[in-house]
Amino acid sequence: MKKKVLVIGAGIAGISAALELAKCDFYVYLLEKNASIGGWVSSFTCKAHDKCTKCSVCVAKRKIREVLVHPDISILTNSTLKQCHGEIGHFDVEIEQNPMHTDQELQEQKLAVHAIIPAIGFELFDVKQYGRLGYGRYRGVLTGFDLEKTMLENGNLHFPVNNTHAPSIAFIQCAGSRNDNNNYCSRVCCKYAMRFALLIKHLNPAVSVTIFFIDIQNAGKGFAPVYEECVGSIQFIRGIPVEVIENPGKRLEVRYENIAQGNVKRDVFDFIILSAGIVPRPGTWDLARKLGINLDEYGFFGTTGTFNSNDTNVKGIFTAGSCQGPKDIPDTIAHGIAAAERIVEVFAK
Amino acid sequence: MALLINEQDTKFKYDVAREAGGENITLCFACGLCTASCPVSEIDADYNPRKIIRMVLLGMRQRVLSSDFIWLCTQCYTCQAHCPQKVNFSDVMKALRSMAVREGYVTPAFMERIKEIDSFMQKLRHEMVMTIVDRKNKETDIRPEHIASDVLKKRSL
Ligand SMILES: Cc1cc2nc3c(=O)[nH]c(=O)nc-3n(C[C@H](O)[C@H](O)[C@H](O)COP(=O)(O)OP(=O)(O)OC[C@H]3O[C@@H](n4cnc5c(N)ncnc54)[C@H](O)[C@@H]3O)c2cc1C
Ligand code: SF4
Ligand code: SF4
Ligand code: SF4
Ligand code: SF4
Repeated sequence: MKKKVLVIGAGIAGISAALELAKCDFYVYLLEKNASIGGWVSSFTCKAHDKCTKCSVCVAKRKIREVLVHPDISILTNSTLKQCHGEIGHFDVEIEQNPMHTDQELQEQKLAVHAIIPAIGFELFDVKQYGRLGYGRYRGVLTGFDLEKTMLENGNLHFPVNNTHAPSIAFIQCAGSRNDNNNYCSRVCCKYAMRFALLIKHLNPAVSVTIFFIDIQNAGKGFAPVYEECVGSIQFIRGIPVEVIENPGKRLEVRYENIAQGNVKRDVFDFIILSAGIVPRPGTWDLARKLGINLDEYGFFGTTGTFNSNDTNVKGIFTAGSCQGPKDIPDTIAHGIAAAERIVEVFAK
Repeated sequence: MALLINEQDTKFKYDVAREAGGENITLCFACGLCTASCPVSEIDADYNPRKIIRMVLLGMRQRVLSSDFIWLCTQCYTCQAHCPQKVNFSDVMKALRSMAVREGYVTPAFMERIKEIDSFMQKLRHEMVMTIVDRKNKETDIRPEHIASDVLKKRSL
């Protein structure tokens, strides 16, 4: 009989782990609290302009389709973990499944599994916490995630052209990352901002695009050329605006220090895109408590060693994806596969 | 701002960090939020909190401690509220001021004079605001310098 694994969270991390485990002859229960699987990536768009910018969204979506039809992966949507007892090789878990219709009752299900992979992903930083940046107050202030959704839903990012001036757009980086509460780099927002900047330029050549940054996180295989490509057409300004205010003409005025020039400046834009970062999901603590695993200093799932990013303090529980710390899609997929491989390795002994 | 290597005092930032209020100086990652929010930078383009921090980190001891900058800060804590790295620049300023006194760049009497100016400014502002609040018709076109001279003439601060 096949050994069984419970994967909690059907984002790209959980999906990658499930596919890898199934390939290695395990049976997988893939638990998802929402009605549909895929996590954040399901609301993301292709960021190609006249050529592919390697954002990996299509790669992730291919995996989502693959997992849906896999015979050895049972997908349990609208479901969460209620309880968990036992140890490596025999965990007894209780699953709660919310009904599809209001007249049905909550269903409970008991499963016996050999190992568990928590892969519940991240939460987007709530930029409303920075009242000074005007999100929720001014219509022209958006987040990177708003761009993803709009582009996916409308197939276009159309910025209304005013007859008095060509629209101008500015990205503000590190919104909610690298501060005293979340003192780490979110690793994905510089890249999505640059990809969107190129895409916006491509779709609306008249628009001017500016990126306010502290330093550009340009890591990742093949990413350097994207930055090179931006340098010609996108304005990069080192310095983070302290405030966004709507001026009498309904345009958005920002005040910042232009660090390269060493002076305080004011500029006006029509749209401000906040590069909101990655923070732990509110449910991370609750799941950690049910599983008995530790959190790290930032509130993500903790692991046992500097060079081991999958093993938790409980034997048989391995974490995967951005619930362990910020990751882009390629790193998330690799991390999900690594968690699966750890299980294969442990049970091969 | 040319930096002469032989003027560099690599110990300076650690001395500041040991001083009460200066503990977090090395955390600064130069985002410029302090300068962009500072009311003094708004009226004096040469006053730049981020640059002062850079000068400390670069070890420009003599230039920082003898500068006018450290006395221009109004200790309003705006920069401190915006700083993502908890550098606590208003407190860093306090640390730099006491080092400047201790190392003989200014006299203790000078420091006292600064305190008097700060307290005087607070009183002046208070009186000025009270003057326009008291006015029945709440005239809005009256200029601050006129209010100030009225206050200074009428009341003894
Ligand atoms: C605006 C934005 C744009 C981005 N653009 C790109 C890009 O272009 N390229 C790129 O490589 N990366 C991009 N990223 C990063 C990318 O989103 C992540 O790498 C990826 O989503 C991480 O996947 P995950 O599975 O770890 O988490 P998630 O996508 O968060 O998936 C977690 C899943 O777990 C479920 N879940 C949560 N809690 C529970 C629970 N208690 N029980 C059961 N299920 C639960 C969730 O519903 C979700 O389906 C972007 C990120 C942001 C914020
Ligand atoms: S990698 Fe991204 S940009 Fe390239 S085709 Fe796929 S979704 Fe589009
Ligand atoms: S990826 Fe860029 S925008 Fe995001 S936290 Fe890191 S440096 Fe800031
Ligand atoms: S706001 Fe803080 S981190 Fe940013 S430049 Fe000023 S002191 Fe440094
Ligand atoms: S405390 Fe000093 S440096 Fe900071 S904002 Fe106020 S005046 Fe500027």
